[in-house]
Amino acid sequence: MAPVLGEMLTERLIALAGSGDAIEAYGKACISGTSCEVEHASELIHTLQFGNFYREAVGAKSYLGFTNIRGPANTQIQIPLMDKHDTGRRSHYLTVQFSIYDAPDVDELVVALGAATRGRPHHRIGDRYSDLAALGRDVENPAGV
Amino acid sequence: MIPELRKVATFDENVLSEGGRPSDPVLRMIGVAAVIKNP
Repeated sequence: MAPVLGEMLTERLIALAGSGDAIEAYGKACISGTSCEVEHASELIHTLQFGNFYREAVGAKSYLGFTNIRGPANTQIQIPLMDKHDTGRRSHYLTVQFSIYDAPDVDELVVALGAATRGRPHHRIGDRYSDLAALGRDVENPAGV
Repeated sequence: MIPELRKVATFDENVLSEGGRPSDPVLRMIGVAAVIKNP
């Protein structure tokens, strides 16, 4: 199920975007209906069998940010996005938000992919690397624990 | 294709301005979602 969904959603998204190169930031999300476990929808998106279709299509290697929640029909789908090559590039921290008026039903699951073609307009937060330099910390251990 | 697939929905927006200033290039954000019966 996960690969079939991953392939179908990726194909649809790339067709809308025009090409994988047009997508600069990406992410995923799922919602379990109220009679379902959070695990049920999570199983579908938290697997390389789902996400790798998207990675291949946009030429990326990074983690896909996500939300995995439970809710009634018309729950807002919030898809957190990050730069597909660089999770520390804050200009590209964006969120896709929309809802489906009749989904999920109590025994349904919603699975979604999100994309952005550029970063936030007029973005002016420094990136993670300038924070790290200012704090004298390492990418691998930002809080120095 | 997917037996339990009820529908597929799309969200597609072009953000032309932000804070009263134009966005150049326009920001396009897209979401695609599948609704399935819990298998």
